[in-house]
This record gives sequence, C-alpha cells and structure tokens, in this order.
Amino acid sequence: MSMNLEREKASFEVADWAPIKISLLTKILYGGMVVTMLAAFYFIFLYAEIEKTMGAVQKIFYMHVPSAWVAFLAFFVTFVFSILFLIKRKRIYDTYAYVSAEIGVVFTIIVLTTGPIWAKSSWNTWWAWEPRLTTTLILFFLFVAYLMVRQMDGVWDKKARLAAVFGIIGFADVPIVFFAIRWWQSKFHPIVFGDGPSQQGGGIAPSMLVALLVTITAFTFLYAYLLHKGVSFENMKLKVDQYKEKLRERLEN
Amino acid sequence: MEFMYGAYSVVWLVIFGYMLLIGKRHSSLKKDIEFLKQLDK
Repeated sequence: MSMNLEREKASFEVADWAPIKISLLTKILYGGMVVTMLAAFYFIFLYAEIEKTMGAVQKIFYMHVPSAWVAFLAFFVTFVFSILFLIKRKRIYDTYAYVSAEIGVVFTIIVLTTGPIWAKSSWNTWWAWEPRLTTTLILFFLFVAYLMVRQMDGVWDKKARLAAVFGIIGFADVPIVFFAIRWWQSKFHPIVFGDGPSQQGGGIAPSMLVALLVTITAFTFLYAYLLHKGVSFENMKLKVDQYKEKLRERLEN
Repeated sequence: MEFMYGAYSVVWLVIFGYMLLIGKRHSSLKKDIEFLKQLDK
C-alpha cells in the first residue's frame, strides 16, 4: 500500500451529514441545464432547417454529436484527474476520474445507439465495421473495463491506481476515434468539418450550426451537473463508510 | 420520422435511467445516514 496517500479525515459528526445540501453551484448547473435544454429543443425543431436529402431523421445529429462531445470531454476529465491522482495521490482526484468515466460511458451508450438508428435510415444497415464505429466501440469497452476495475474487491488505492492507468490508456483512443475518418478511408461515415482522404467535409447550414452549438452547451451543462452531483455523492458515501468503520471498532472494543 | 422518434426516445431513456440510478443511490445513502443517526443517539 502506498505510504504517501492522503488519508481522509472524517469529521464523524452525524449532524454534518444531515443535509445533503443543494449548493448554489448545483442550482446554477441545474438552472443552466434546464434553460439551455429548452432552448436546444426550440433550435432543433423550430429553428434549424430540415435537411433536404435525409429529411427529419437528420435531427438525430443534434443528439448524436453532443453526446459524443460529452463522452470525449468526460474521458478527457478522467485522463487529467487520473494523472493528477498518480502524482498527488489525493482521493478527490480519483473520485472525479471515476464519476467522469461513468458519465462518459453513459454518453457513449447514447452515441452507440443513436448512431445505428441513424445508420439504418441513411445507410440501410444498423452497423458497419468501419473506422469510426469500430474505434468508438473499443472506447466503450475500455471504459467499461475501467468501471469493472472499480468494482473489484480489494484496497481502494490499489484499485484507484490500476483504474488511473486504465483511464490514461483508455483516453488514447479518443483522438483515434476523432481522426479515424480522416486517417482511414470511410465509405459510410461522413466528414462534416474539414477534409479526409476520400471525401471533403460538406459543412452545415448556419441554422443547423446554431442548433448544434446550443445543444452542445446544454449537454455540457448536463455533464457538469451530473459530475457535481456524482462527486458530492461519492464524498458523502466515503464519510458514511468511514463512520461505519469507526462504529464497528467502537463496538468491538 | 420513426427513426428520429426512436433515437430521441433512446437518448432520454438512457439519461433519465442514469438519473434514476443516481437517485436510487442517493436514497440508499440517506437510509444509511438515518440508521447511523439512530445508532449514534
């Protein structure tokens, strides 16, 4: 067991736990999320024009891309906090990395389900083993493995160190997912911004871009809210566990 | 059109499912705290 780990000091005051307080930050994040989400629905369904070739089904784009953005952001946060944890060995960094990875997996599930639904409509197939889809699936499995490491039996700091290594290695797949359609030929997955080896980015109409940016903002608020709630919850759980341990010791003596 | 409705349903099903999971964890923790409070008296 590493010696330089910060040992948590529990306050052991039950009164401290009573309010799992709704902080000002929670209110701001929640409010921001609700307002931007409502705005996003307005921009998606009433403001953005309907794409001529695909029709209404193209509106899946406004959920698919922001979900991918949040998943990448979440794994990036896991990557940063995993490095911080390995350097500083503070539990709070591990907590942030864990909660962020969990949210990342949730949003990767959304990407991996909305993608095939859109694909069935546009490509007439649910799945194709092309670079973007394959690397995204690998990313999903890497972070599922990360969460499984967290559920293993054993001392938390050993699990945390192993998970941190997983978090860092797992993040290496994120740029690969992003550049997959630019590095390798992809018959199916379109490039919207920039050019690739086999295709040129088509770009999107200004009204669609506005809807996309508003939805990305809404999803980022949702991510921040979930992260904040998750970290508060994990901290409180830690205190409860420590207090239980203290009580057990007291009863045994 | 049905593909769009399907995709949007899945998105919100997953998000609300995750929120429900967080809520369940939260209420289980609350129960633990209440129990410890009683034990501490």
